[in-house]
Amino acid sequence: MPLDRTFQFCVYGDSHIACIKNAVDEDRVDLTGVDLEFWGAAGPRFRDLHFVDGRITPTSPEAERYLEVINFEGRKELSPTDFEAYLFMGCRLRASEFLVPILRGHSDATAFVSSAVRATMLHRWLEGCRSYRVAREFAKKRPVLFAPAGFLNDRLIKEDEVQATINTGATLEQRAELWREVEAAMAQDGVTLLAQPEETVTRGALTHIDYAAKSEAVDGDTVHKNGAYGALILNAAISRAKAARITA
Amino acid sequence: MSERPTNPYANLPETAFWKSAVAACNPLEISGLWRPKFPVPRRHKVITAGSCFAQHFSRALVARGHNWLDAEPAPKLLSEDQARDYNYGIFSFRTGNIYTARMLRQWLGYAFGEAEAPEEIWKNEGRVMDPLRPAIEPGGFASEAELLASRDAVLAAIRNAITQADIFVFTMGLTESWRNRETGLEYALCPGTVGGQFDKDQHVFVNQGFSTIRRDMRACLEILRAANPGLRVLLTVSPVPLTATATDKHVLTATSYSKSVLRAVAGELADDHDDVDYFPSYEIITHPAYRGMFYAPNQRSVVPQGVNHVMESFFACQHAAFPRLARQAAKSGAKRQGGSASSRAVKCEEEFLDAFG
Repeated sequence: MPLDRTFQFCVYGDSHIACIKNAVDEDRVDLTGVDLEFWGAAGPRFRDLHFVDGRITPTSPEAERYLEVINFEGRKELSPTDFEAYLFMGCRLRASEFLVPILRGHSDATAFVSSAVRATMLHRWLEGCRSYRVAREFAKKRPVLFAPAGFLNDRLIKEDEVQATINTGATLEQRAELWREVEAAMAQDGVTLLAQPEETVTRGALTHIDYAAKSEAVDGDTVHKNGAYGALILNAAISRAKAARITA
Repeated sequence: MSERPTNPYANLPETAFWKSAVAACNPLEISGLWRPKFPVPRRHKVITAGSCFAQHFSRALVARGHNWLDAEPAPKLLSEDQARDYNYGIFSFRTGNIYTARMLRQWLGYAFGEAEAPEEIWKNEGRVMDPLRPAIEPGGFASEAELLASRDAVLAAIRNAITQADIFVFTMGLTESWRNRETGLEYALCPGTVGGQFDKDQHVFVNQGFSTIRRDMRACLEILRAANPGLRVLLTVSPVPLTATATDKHVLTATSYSKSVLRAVAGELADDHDDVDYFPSYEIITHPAYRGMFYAPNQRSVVPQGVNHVMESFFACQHAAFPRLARQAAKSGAKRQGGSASSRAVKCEEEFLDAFG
């Protein structure tokens, strides 16, 4: 493909795409030469987006209304060939579900799992996520990057829950080892992993409060991230997707 | 002045007489087989281990809302079937079946520092197996380090379970076992069956007798009391016959010997110790009064109706002895956990609409 044309890039996801949108609105990302669209739905309506006949289609009026809000082009469906590359953001694939219990095994003997169990967990984590299966189908035709939802937000998650579930001493190397396993598994499906940026990680397996969507403890949003986080993901995604285009 | 009974049997209850307690009854209506020493209320933490029949206890307790303690739970990402494949959630810790009193003593000794865990491991085609639980991971472990880390996990889980529990249900399974002639280590299974290689010079068959088993069980009780003085022990004997015997006897008579010895030890321990009780699941399944109705056609496997009848009897006897438990059971229904999913959905939508609205 000619490189002087605008790069058609789509961010698909659930409520986690909000941090990407915030990054764009806050001018944290250089989108020169990039034609960016968002597509997806939040909350339970995300489950109403189904992969049918090779494209993602809303199956409820509520999901259609979400799409009207999120996609300014009025795109009713999403096909792999609609864009040059895709970022699957969040999409119900949560880093906490795979990495956190295994990291816990480094500090809590009873949480140790064998490599065979770990491999089974990884397979089920990916295969059990409908959006991951969709990403795999999209990746057969276009580059797909997948950014799982990041670790829960520090200081917003209750400390007793942290103590009960998080290995706050997990190291960069321990995380990296697991991310490498995820990356390798996704690569077999043609999907490129975007791991949670290390600078956003704190206390072993939590997201630093500076990257939380709402840092006020009263809101208690332990899940969503802010524009600063979104910028790290989107910059990495565009950079890697463009590189894939160049080498394609 | 009241009349004196003509003999010691004169004023005994109906349950003391075969004619009224058994012969006159439909077998499914035989009742009062057990007078429990202590209650098993729902709030009490119960742990289970032992022969394969023990797992029915944990399932029944969970089904009835009891507080069964799983000290080594499966990772949430595993499906129920996958968890079972890796022996999670079957007993309170991932020891696999503990068939003998010696095996229980070994596990407790390793967990509470009274003995050093064995160095022996079994290797097979690049994989390694734990002789204490060779079937715990399908295909074994990837390395010796992994095996040892996993063993550390189960020993920690045993410590957590024993120190936190209120009641320990242990199902005694076998008297026959195989040991390392030199080290004395007792194996979970005969080497060469599931893992390892059988060596007649190294491996020796042992058919444990009453006094040996009683000694091992007493040693177990000492370890348990030291770790948790408030812990109560409920013994049962597995009604499942031997798959095979390594004695020169017929497997039927070998089974009869094995179960009789275990039953006798369990009975004596229950008679001798206030904090030890015996529940007669063994009799409910095996006794001629039940006409073998709880066995599958192979005359070995216990059918679900048998397990259900055992557990119904367990709770019926508990409720008869402690009526408040019956009232609690009648009152309480399954508690539903609500709110968290919907509140999370609301938060998702708020975040989304903030960005795009």
